[in-house]
Amino acid sequence: MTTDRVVLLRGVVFAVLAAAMLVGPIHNQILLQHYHPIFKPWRMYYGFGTDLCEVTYVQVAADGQTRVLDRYALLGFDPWTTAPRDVRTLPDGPTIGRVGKQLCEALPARRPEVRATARCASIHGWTPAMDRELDLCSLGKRQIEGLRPKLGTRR
Amino acid sequence: MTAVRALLEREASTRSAALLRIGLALLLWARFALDVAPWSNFEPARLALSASFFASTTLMLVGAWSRVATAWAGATALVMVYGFGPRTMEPWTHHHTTLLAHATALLALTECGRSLSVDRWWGLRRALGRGGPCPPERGPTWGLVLIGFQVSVVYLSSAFDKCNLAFLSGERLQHTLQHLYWGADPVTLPLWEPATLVAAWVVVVLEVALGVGLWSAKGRRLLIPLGLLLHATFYVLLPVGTFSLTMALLYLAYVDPDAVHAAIDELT
Repeated sequence: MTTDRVVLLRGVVFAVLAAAMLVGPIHNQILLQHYHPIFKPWRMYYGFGTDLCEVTYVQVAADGQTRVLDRYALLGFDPWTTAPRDVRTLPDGPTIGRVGKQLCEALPARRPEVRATARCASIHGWTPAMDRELDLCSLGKRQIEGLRPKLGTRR
Repeated sequence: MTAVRALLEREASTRSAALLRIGLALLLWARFALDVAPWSNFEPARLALSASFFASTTLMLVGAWSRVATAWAGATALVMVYGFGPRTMEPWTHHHTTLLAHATALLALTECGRSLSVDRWWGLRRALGRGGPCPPERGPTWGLVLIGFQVSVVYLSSAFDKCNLAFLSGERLQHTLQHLYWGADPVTLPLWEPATLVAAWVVVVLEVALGVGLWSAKGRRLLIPLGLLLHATFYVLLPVGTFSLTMALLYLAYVDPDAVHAAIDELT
């Protein structure tokens, strides 16, 4: 037979631990306070996959005709799984620019024009990053490193 | 008040708690053994942590001084997650490691050594020596209820976090799967966007259902298989570490311990 004192002790421990389990989610998700290493919410995969842009490279001919480029084939990654991680996922603007520049160098044309359509992953969903507004072949190294996906606007 | 008192007083078979003890000890080894092995770091604090981890989890696994060993292993894991983690070992702060530490610490509130343990073997030998009755495989179940509560908090908090347009539109799932599998090329699979939208809703609805419905005996019949399928899918497709296995193991906390006891009897 369990004594009243033992039941009371169990009840206090139960209540304290149950409350402690709720502190993290309430602190972070209801009260919207900043992340705290002790009061953690259960936000799984919160930012996972955001270092990715979905990109289509096109070559623009002198007459304005466009041709979609296969970056793996042009850069010699056969099969495509042999490509480095950042060439596969194109995580940000500078990488999109650098890979675009490599495509320019790999094309047989004398002065090719390569442009990109891109949207990048963010915790807010897909965000537009490029809409063929830049000829990547004409960009210098500093301009490429200065490229940033335009975050914060929805598709 | 009567229901609360009944919850705190209830006693049942200790085999569920014993299975949790064995499973959690193995999961702790699977996740942390390489990280805390003595050769991994020669700092005195890390060597002490290594000794504490392996001694406590070994005793916990075999069930020798089980409750003390489980409390010790739980305390060690909590120190790893909340002490070492934020300072020098960021991977130890992840959710799957936090859940392992919490579940181990909570298991110390159960009589997890009264079944399937060296403690039980010692108890039987003492009873035989004295010619007395075998020690009962029974103990309070309120610790299991707390473990179940922790699992429900994980599900509901996780579902709440996904209730936003980015996730429910399927876009966050697209990011995850493209990042892991497809890469930066536009996905040309037929029905890719509708499929990810449906999958996102299924995940959120199922997480809410699991967080609430696992407390009902009727709900468990449907939800445990669905939950196991969900976690198996995560385990195979995503880098979730020990999370899926831990969640699947912790379902034992919801099931009536006497039913688990009877099921083991049927098998043996």
